[in-house]
Amino acid sequence: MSKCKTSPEVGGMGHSIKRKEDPRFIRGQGNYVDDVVRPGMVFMDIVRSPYAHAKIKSINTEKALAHPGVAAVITGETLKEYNLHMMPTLMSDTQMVLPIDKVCYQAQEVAAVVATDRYSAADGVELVEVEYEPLPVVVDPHKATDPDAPIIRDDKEGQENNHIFHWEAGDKDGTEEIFKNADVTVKENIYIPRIHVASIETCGCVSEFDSVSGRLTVWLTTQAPHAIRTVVALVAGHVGLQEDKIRIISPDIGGGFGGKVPVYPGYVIAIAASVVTGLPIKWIEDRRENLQADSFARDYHMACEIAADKDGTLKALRIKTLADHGYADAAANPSKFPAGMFSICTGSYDFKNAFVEVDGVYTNKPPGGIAYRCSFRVTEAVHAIERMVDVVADELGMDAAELRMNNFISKDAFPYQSPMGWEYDSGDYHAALKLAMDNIGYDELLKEQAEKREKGELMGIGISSFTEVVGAGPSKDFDILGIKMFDSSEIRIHPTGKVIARFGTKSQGQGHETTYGQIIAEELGIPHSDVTVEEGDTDTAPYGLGTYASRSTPTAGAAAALACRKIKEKSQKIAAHLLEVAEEDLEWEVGKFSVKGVPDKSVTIQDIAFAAYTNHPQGLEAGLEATHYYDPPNMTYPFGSYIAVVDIDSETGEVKVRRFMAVDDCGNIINPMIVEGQIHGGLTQGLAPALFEEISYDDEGNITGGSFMEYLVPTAVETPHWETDKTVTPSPHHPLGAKGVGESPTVGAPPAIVNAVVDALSHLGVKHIDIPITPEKVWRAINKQDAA
Amino acid sequence: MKVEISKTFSIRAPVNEVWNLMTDVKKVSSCIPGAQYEQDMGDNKHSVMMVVKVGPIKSSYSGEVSIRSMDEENHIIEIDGKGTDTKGKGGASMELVGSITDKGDGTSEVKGDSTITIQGMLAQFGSRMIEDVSNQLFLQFTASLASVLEGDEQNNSDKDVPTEDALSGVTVALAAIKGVFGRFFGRFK
Repeated sequence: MSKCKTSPEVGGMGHSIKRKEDPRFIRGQGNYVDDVVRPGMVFMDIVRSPYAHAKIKSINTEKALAHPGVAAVITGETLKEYNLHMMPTLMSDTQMVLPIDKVCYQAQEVAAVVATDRYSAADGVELVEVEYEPLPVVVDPHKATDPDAPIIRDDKEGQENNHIFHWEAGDKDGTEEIFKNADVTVKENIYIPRIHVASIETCGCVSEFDSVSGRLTVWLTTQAPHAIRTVVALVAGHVGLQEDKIRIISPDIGGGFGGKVPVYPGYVIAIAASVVTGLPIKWIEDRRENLQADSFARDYHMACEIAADKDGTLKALRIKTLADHGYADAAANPSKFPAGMFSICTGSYDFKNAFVEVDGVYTNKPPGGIAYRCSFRVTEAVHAIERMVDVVADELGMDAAELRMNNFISKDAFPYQSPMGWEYDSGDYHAALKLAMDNIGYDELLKEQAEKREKGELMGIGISSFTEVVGAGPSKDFDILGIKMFDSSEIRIHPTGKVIARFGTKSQGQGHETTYGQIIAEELGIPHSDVTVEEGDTDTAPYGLGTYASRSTPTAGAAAALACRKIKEKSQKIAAHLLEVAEEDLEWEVGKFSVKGVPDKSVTIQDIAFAAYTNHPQGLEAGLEATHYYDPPNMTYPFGSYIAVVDIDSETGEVKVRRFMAVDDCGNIINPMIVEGQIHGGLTQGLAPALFEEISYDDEGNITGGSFMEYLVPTAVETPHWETDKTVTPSPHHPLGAKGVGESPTVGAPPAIVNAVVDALSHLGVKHIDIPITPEKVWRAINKQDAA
Repeated sequence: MKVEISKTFSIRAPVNEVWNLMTDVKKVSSCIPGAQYEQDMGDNKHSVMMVVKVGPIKSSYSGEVSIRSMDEENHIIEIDGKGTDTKGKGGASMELVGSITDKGDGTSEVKGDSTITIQGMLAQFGSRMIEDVSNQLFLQFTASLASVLEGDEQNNSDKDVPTEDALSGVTVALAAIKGVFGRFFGRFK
């Protein structure tokens, strides 16, 4: 959007309005779950398994119960009395809340201790004695389906191995045909490891049950409060918790990134314990628990192949994936998509055909498969395709930028039908890559690289030209546990022209209080400062599926625009009444209706609002408010081109990202400053898995990256200066032309960095390095040593 | 996690004496810092308690030691040990092959190759220090052994060797930390 329609005072779309939520955050006046204090509140802490797979022979709670302050110890047996020891996952699998007879991953919940203070709860945990008998473990997913592998889910009837699902998309035969006749085929095994969101705020809840009214109120770290309310009602309806008696409040959230979508056993235990004891119970994870036991992301082993012509024309793509889901399939995907949107893997390129298959397996690791700042496995898909395009370029000795330019879907081809069945809404991939190349000085960099190589210095340039698919999603395809993935907005204009707007989404730092206000300002001309935005309280907000997968602007943002348009329609009737003209004789400009040809004769939206309560026309309902549930007709497809420049120390293998140019296209922009902030944060969370982060396990299933000593979250020191720019290609079907941006940089950045590192080492015969690219891996690649 | 530890040391005592001590689980466990012999369970199996402190983690293992094979003639012994933390914080198992050779000058060479598998908290948080802690344990063990075999009469034979207090946590942790730093900086020897 080149020009703003509204003044800075009104602050509609395109204005860099300072975030409304920041004054309370920077003053330490946010209200997070751990800030909630209730009268008589008690505290819970959790006993966790040291073993990845073991029988529980006994749990002795005697000493813990004898500890002063300890009120109760809850075990699987306790919960079994209420049939709450198991719970469903989002993928319709089952998961233990607390175990009865065996544990299936290290750090699994084994028992919970409730005490009068946090310290006594922790002391109680130390005093619970659990006797285990270790069982053989399944750590390597490649061995999970071996005939002699121990069966992890022997609790599930008919489960005779560790295989969960097989899923495929695309045209298998057609793809094979192209591969048979191709000039060139390349293959690479690419692993995108298990990582963790590492939000600043860990997970937790305060659960309070009023035994008189039968009402349950839960303050919860959740990205999807409404869905949680329904899940609690479905799971615990049999103990009297019907949905109207459940209130989920998601207060300020310190980062979600997908990690606060699932229901964790700790929530269920705390809720059950508060209902049984009638006491408000607080449970807050510590950092280790958060890192070790909560849902992981990624963990895809992808065998990727591309068939191409000699001239570099990409013809077909084939990916066979092994997905390590841990002990249960607790991935957070829409129901029909066990591998999420992984089939977006043809990316920005005009492939003739493609075929992907994914097999999910159980292992003795925590369950999960969340969409960490990514729209359901898009990161995995983008990593595969962006890496593979470089593999083709290397094979053919072509420039990676040129190969991309030659294969991009042309901007005239939109809406573009991908061989996997996605309909891309809009894009101009050539423009984005060209802008990134011009900005960073691509040709000069190539020259510099050639000179450095002469001198034996290692420098690499890497590109990633990703396409995302976000904004889930159209109800015909997208649901979670049967609930369609619409989202909602309810807008009320008060008599004085001020606004309260409520949404089914939930900000975790995205700045919804600011951006939703700007959408309303854009549509109604009411200053953004006159709009209060509320989310996260299921008693007040309209139903929605929450915030993740870059869906808030595509769904709830659209709902806000359309609710505003309903209000505007009614406003026009009131304006006609006030100005005593026919509705058709009125025209709208920012914030007011005026009589066509007589601009002086007008009423403002504030006048109209007052009239709606004081002088509404006969035959029209009083009041000025509207609700809209937006069911998107299609997904949106943000895209971008990133270029990374790295320097590598050939002695130590250390990679330094010297420059990083990110050109993003997220359609029309609501708040450029917030978009830029999102991109900076997202790029850093893309750098993290590329160079540092991995949750690793040893052969016994011990977590070897279970604290911030080993799990290396980048700090400002490791983070390069981000250079950003944009192109704007509006979404044709979104009411505001917006697409969503929060996740693009996390999705797009890792392959740019890997491609740059491999490019720096390509003359040494290096074809691929799996992330995280540690100095050790680089050193081994340079020195041609396999990993120990 | 798995740790492989191989050690060789010499002791000023004849092979038979060393062999007799090393094959007597009760006596040998009295030389291991932190170990306390519990009872003979028959069939070459013995129960032993062991306390180890690695950094912030103190673990008490209730274990079972069994002699898998004993080659009297060549002085080779194979021992299996497994233990679980008494508080349910994890477990460890060990396979050890030990041999004793006569050096001819009145001394014997003892060689031990062991593989230790560790599960639980210790494996997670102590992984960097386990090797160093093992080294410390080993040094204290050989010192105790030497004092039994080489030492005064009064300190010999049937008398239990004083080893109490397991492994003096602080001493070993400090020594281990020095070991870790020593690797980085090549000093603090």
